Formats: sequence, C-alpha cells, structure tokens
Amino acid sequence: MMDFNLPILLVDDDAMVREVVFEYLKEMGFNNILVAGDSQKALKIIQDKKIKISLVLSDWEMPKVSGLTLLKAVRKDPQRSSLPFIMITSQRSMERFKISQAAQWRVDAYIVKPFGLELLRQKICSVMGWKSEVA
Amino acid sequence: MKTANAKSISPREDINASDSSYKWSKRILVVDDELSIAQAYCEILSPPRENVVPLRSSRSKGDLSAGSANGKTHFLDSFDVDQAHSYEQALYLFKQALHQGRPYAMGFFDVKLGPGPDGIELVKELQGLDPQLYAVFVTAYNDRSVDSIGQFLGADRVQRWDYMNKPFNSGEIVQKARNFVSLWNLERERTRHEVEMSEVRRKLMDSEKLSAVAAVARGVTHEFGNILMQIMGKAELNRNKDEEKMRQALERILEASQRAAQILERFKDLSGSAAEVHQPKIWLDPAQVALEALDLMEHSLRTHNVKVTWIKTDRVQVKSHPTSLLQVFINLFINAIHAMEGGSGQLDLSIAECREAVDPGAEVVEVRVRDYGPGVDPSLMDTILEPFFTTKGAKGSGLGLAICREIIEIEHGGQFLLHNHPVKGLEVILRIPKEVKS
Repeated sequence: MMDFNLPILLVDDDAMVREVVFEYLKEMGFNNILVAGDSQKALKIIQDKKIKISLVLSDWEMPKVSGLTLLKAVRKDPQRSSLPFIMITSQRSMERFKISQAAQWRVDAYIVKPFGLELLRQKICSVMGWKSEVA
Repeated sequence: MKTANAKSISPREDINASDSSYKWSKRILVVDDELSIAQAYCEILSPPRENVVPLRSSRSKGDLSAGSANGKTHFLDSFDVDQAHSYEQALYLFKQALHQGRPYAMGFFDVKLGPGPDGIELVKELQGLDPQLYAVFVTAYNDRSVDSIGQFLGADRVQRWDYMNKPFNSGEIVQKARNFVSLWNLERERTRHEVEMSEVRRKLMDSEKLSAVAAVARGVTHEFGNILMQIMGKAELNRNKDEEKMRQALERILEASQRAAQILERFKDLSGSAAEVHQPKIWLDPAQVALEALDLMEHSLRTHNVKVTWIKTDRVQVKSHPTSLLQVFINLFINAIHAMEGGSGQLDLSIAECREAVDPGAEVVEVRVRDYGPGVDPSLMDTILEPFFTTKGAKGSGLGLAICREIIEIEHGGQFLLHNHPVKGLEVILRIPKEVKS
C-alpha cells in the first residue's frame, strides 16, 4: 500500500545533491520530505516522536559524522531499530567494503551516485514493500 | 683442457640482470711464453674431472663456496682455463671473451713474455679494457720490484693484482685462483643485486605515486558523483517541463559541468607520469604547488574536518618537477589527516625563505607542515623514514615518507627533517636549496 504522506528524511551535506534528490522524491509523489545537511540534525529529526520518520535516505560520506554512524545510532535505538534506511554512496572502489560494513548494521538498500529517478523509485518501493510499477 | 688454438666455447650465461639467479664464472686466463709452464697451470687449475680431489677442509668449504645466491655450492677446485703464449694472443683472447660477454675473472701473467711488452704492460692494457680483472704476476726474475709494478699500474689498481715467485707450487696457484675468482664473482653478484634493487625501488616509487593518485581519485569520484547527480537529475526532472523550467535546468547543468571541468583541470597535473623525473626541472613556486595539493585533497580535508592555516607564505621559486613536489605535499597531507583521524584537526603550513644555518651563503626555501595529532613515538623517529615502515597496518605501504625524503633529498638536493612539535603534533621540515645544481 503506497503512502506518499509518510514523512521521509533525506540527509546529504551537498546542497545540490540534496536539491536533486528532493525533486526526485517530489516527482515520485512524496509530499512530506524533510531534509538535513548533517547526521546530527538528522538524528534529532529521527528521534522526534512527533514526526515519526518512516524512511531515511542518507549520504555515506559526510564531514563530522558519517552516514554509517547515523545508521548505527538508528539501529541501536530500540524504538527505531527497524526503520527503513537507504544508504547513498559514490565511491565505487569502496563499494564492497561499504556494503559489508553496512550489512552488519542492516542497511536496507544502498544506491550509488549518480542515479536516476527510476532506480531510486525501485529502491524505495522494495525497501517499503511497495509494488514499484504503480507510481 | 683447452688451449688457445683449439678452444671450444661452452654455452654459458653471463650476468643478466633479469635473470633471477646469478651463475658463477670461473674463467681464468694463463699467459706464459713457455708452453710447458702454461700447460702446468692448466693441469693444476683444470684437472680431469675424475682426478678432482676436494681440496676444501671443513672450514674452507664454507668460505670458498660462499657467495651463492641460489644456495647451490660452487666448486672452485676446477676452473675454466684458457692459455696464451704471447702478448698479442692474450690480448686477442681477452677481447674475444669481453665481446662474447664472458669475461675472465682473473689471470696468471708471466712477467717476461719474450720480446715486446711484458706481462705488466699487458695487464695494464687488459685492465684498461676491463677494470674488474684480477691479475697475479708470476716471475722467476727480480727484474721488476713490487713497488715498481705498483707504480706502473697506478695506486687505484692496488687491490687488483698480486705477485708470486717461480717456482710456484700447485697449492699456491689454486689458492690464488680461488680467492680472486670468488672475489670477482661476489663483486659481480653485488653489482647485479644493486641494479635489481634500484629497479625494484623505482617500481615501488612508481606504485606509491599511483597510490597517492588513487587517494586523490577517491575524493574526486565523490565530487564527480555529486556533480553527475545534479546533471542527471536536472535533465531527467525537467525534460518534459515548460521552456522556462528547462532553461533553468540547463543553466544548472552547465554550472555543474563547469565544476566538473575545473576538477578535471586540477587532476590533470597529478596524473602526469612518473617518467617526468627524466624531464628537465622547471621553476616553481612551492606555495602554488601546496595550494594545488590542498585543492586536490579538499574533499579529504573537509570530510576529516581538518582546518588549514597558513603561517607564512613567501612567494619564492625553486627548480623542481611539478608532480614530484605535488606528490610530497599530498603525501604529507595524507599523513597529517591519518594522524588526526577520528576527530577534527588542524594543519599548519609555512613556506619561508631563509639562510642555511650551516652555510650562511646558501639560501634555502623552508617548508613546514605540522599536524596536531599525537606525534610520533620518539623511539620510532628514525625508523619512520625507512621504506616499508608503517604505523598504519595494512592501510599504509610504508613508503610515503621514504619517498618524500627521496624526492627532497635526491631529486632536489635538499633536507627532509621531522620532529615532534614541542606543543603538539608532528612537524615535517623540508629545506630545498634555491639553486639546484643538477
């Protein structure tokens, strides 16, 4: 059952990437998108009981606190340990290492930059358990 | 037994740097105008196989058969002996051996060779052709004193000849042959190892240069991923929109492409091949090179929250290869970032023109790169510059600093120093002479 009213969170330190992914999500139909420029702000939003984020899309490589640290923090939180989490990364050479690390912390999907709308749609649908052809 | 007239050349490899094992050569030239004496040498030095009685005692075995690179024992009781009975014949055989790449290790030379030049003049001629040759003079006459031979051949040749009186005994001959043949082969082996080592070192330097390129490349891939995100996204999202939306999107795509072009421009300099060491040096401003390195490392510095502070920036010119110096800066920045891993950090940079402390006439450019990490354990301060030493485990090749030092000291004739800063962190000091003589 697709629900585009669910609040989702996008985390990336690069404003331009954030803007593009934000527009992708809007294009897909999401209308409750929150954004954060770093992991600390992101964690505050995730832990906010009123917002109840239902999906996180986070960049891996960010200054100060990386996306993996954010993922770990989320998984260690008993109330949010199964929050759907998609990791965005760009370093193909590090891919395998990253996937293995992220798998330990149950990343639900990862997506390598640059990516288009369709791939993002597929990843989100699969993570959320939605049928992707209905968009 | 071989004579000069009926010589068979057995196929044998000479020194070849690409060969993994070194094969000992046991070639000896015997020069005596008396055939029977020349024959006697051959019988002593190259007896028929079945007559070979191992001459080695248990002690000498280790000594004389030493120097084997492949662990095999070299039997030095039998040599490959050629004989010549005149000055001309000896010269001919010697040149032929050199030409074939199968030089003689040593020779026994009769001093009196009939009319014409004597054995000492012959050796001078031969050593002029091949300075590695060891010579043993044999004479029954006291016509030339040891001093006069030494004077004639020159002081630099003193290690290359020896002297024996007739009548000789076989033990003496074999002993001299063993000693000089061993010595000659050990020298050749060592030279060959040195050639191999410098080759290995060059390859390692090249691969280290590549790994610094890789470190920069990782940062660049990240930036490129982001840029392409923007280009792809804007194009995809706006391709069916109205003209104004499309125009805006195209503006953003253009901006992103320009950003990519700028990155490519910076990266181009670094990918210049390691072969540039053979190119002439050019005048460079080290501050400019440091800025370029900071630019290339920008992503890493940013992700690790390293703040860069310029303490001093003298604009000076040194002669250098652009990539070499860039390499040094990048390696030092990578080290600093690693040293401060886990938190935020600071990097102080200073480039100053100053007088050399030891030689006040000489001007140097002093570059200081200081991090605010834990510094280096004083007991490791010396070893840290050695190749293959690393504190980074599998992450480091242990070559970064060694190569920086090599570039500064060998390529630039400068000094590479490091010490723990009295307050905090490690400070690397590079002193590059302002005028570099090639």
